[in-house]
Amino acid sequence: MRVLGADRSFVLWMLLSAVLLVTVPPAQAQSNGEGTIYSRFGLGSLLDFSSSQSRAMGGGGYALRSLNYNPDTNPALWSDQVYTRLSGSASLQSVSSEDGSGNSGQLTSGNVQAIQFSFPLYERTLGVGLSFQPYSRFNYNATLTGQERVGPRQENEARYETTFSGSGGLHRLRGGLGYRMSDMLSVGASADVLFGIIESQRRTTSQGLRNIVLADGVRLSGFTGTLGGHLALADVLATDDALSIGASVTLPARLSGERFRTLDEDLARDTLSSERGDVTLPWQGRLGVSYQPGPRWTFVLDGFFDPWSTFSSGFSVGTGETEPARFPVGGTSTLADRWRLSTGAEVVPAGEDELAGYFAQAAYRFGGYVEQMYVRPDRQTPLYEFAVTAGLSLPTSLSGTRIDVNTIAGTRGTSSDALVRDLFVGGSLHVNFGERWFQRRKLR
Amino acid sequence: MRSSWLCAALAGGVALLSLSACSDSSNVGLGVGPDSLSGGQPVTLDVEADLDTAHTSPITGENVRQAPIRSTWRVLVGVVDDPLPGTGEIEAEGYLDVAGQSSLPSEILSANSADSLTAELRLTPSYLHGDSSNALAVEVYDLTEDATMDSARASATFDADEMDPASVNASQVNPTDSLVTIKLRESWIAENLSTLQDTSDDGSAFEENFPGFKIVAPNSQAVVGFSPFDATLRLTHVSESDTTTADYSGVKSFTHIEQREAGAPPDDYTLLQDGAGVDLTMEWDFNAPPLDTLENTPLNRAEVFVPVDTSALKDFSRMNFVRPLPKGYRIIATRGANTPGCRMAGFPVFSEPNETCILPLDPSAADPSAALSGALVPDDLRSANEAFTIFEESFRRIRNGQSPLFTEYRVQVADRESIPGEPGSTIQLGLPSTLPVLVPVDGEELAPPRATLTVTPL
Repeated sequence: MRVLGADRSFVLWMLLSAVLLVTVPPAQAQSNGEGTIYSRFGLGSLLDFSSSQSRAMGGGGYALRSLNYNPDTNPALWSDQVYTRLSGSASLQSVSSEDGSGNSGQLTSGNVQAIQFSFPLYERTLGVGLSFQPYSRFNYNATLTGQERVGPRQENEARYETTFSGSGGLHRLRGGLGYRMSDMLSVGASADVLFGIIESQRRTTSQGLRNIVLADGVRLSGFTGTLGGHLALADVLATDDALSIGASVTLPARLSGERFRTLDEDLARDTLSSERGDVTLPWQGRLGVSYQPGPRWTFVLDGFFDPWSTFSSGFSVGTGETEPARFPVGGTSTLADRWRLSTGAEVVPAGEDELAGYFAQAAYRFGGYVEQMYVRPDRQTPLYEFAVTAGLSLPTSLSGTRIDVNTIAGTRGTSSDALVRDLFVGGSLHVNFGERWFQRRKLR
Repeated sequence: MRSSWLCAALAGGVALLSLSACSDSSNVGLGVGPDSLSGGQPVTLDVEADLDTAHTSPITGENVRQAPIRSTWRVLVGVVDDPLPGTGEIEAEGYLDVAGQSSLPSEILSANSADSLTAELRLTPSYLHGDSSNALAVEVYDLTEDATMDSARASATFDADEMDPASVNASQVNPTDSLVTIKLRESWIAENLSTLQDTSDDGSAFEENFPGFKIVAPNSQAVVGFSPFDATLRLTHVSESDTTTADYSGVKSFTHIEQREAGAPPDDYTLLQDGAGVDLTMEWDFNAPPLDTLENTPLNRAEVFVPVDTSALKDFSRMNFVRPLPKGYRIIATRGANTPGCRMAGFPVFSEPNETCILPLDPSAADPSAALSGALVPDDLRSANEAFTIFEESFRRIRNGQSPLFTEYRVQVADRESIPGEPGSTIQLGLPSTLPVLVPVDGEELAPPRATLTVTPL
């Protein structure tokens, strides 16, 4: 197939993006993602990223159809594509945590949000979508300090610091097809590969003592699939308005792997014990509605439900000192059903006026959500996450290419009942590159 | 928007990714959940060793012509009855051989009789253990044959003609003098005149025919040490107009040491005694508590310490009694079965065939002026792990069903300078001495010999 219509800058972008993709693993290795103590529980903090557009509109957008983005939560949305599209996202988030005693801490880090690629096989009829993004992020950091008298004459006092941290997480590689069956109905399906390593580490450091690094990890991988549907209705409440309903279901996933405990790090790392096992993730349901009364405004209302109370783990409860810690931490009773309600809006002041000023052609987005978290560390107190989102989408001279800047601010958890309340603020940068590619120009 | 903006955006994204996580130290969240974050606190514990004593006669022979040259060597003479219980009576007999001369003053060479010559042993005291107020009655005898003193142990003896002393009767040595002389009989000069005047073969002929002296002070109340390589046999020719001398320098020395009527040491102590060769042995049982519970526990730090109760030594003394504290110690470790060789484990070899290793010690720990002196195997020395290696490797071997790295540790008094900052000085041989030390084995104030381990439980 001959490449047509691709200018030099497109090729440049593809190369740069490829470089970015290659650098993703090391970048993730040093990132601390969402940064909350609650990521110790379950599989870590679950990350839901569909597109930069939906991210700024409360995080849903399961029915949000757009030629400028390639949302991947609902595979049916891949059916309506014109451009070959590559998107990359990176974020920076700062989390401030506070407990009931007034102690506080802060964690700031950079993170990859997603790499997405999609293209139409048949324009606006059959499309392909591929994405690689974090599924969960195990990330926390807490420190304990103390001092110990050492030496045979107890003459030395060694101050030490014990740092508990989590790293890693599961990643999701998704690939699938979306098919537009009619002007109203689209369907899609994807195959999802979940894989990754979740590791919690305890590091004791001191000037007068050798460092001790103890790590409990779980390596998991498995497959699942997602089915999606999208219903598009026009002239529902007014002339030229559009109402869309989208839904998707991700099937339960069985992840197999190995749990291990290691001592030391790098080349000196020694495996104390390991155990094979598996876990079963629950199904996940998404449902959303979007409404466009005209070319300027778009509104979305979304929700999802994940029955994490059905999560099961086949890993045994280790009791020996060389055996790794229980997985998930605290047992499955610390998991609860997860749900989220989100809403958002987008306005493009210029509407369809291509001659309007630059900032009139930009898209301005805002939204918010409330979520019941899927972890319940004390097994009784439901935890919620509230957040408001906003974003700015800047058009570029390349048709179909936009640069988005999003922000989010919110809170999760509670500082009562020996729990922790997080305040988080973040920003993210998204490059959504689109170009007609892999398509023959028709001679007229 | 120009495409350069896109470059800037992508660069911004990469910059976001490149931000490594940063956090302030906080204990927030440690107590969240049923499996709350805990542990990781190091704890220090003392692991006492199984103690015993063993006898090893120390090396007291030295030849200045043989490497390694120990120019500060000493030869001991006398008897000491230390008031410290358990020490018994120690008798030291010194042996000294002198080098021949390739040339002599003509007056001495031409002397036809002993009438014009005098002979004396000139000795420089460098050590005193015992009564400082009384002079020693010293006797000097000729050895009957050449003695191999090099690296001989204190239990060895060499025959001497004790029927016919070389020294004059009633030779007295004041132990506190800076130089003592022992006059030899005129008859001895007459008997040995031709040998003394023999300068052939650069003095080798003299050395072949002159086996050396044995010096004893059997009725003394102190052991005095002399520097053998500063010692001289001096021949003096006196005429009306002039006095001419010839010095025969010490070249070999040896001290034979015997212990008599050794009793029990004071309660709660073990007695280590140099010269008599009473060593302390230590063993740690890795299959008994608490070591058997630590084989999987990460080790942060390890040290082995053998304390010496210097204040208790002072309690056992009497007027004018001098007992210096030794300036150093040695610890020799016996390898376990199928363990790596000493050098492979990072330690000097003590004895061939590589069955025992010698452990470098912390030189400053042996400082006799310190409030608490002793032998300390430090955690590490100049990036070479010492006690840490021993216990880390032993735990690893125990986990694999093997023997620990070392099965026995033997602690010896080694009276030589322990040079601060030079751990290598602590593996050197000690000078001959008769010094005792008390090692506490029970009691509350001073803990017994022990390994002090700092571990971080899993």
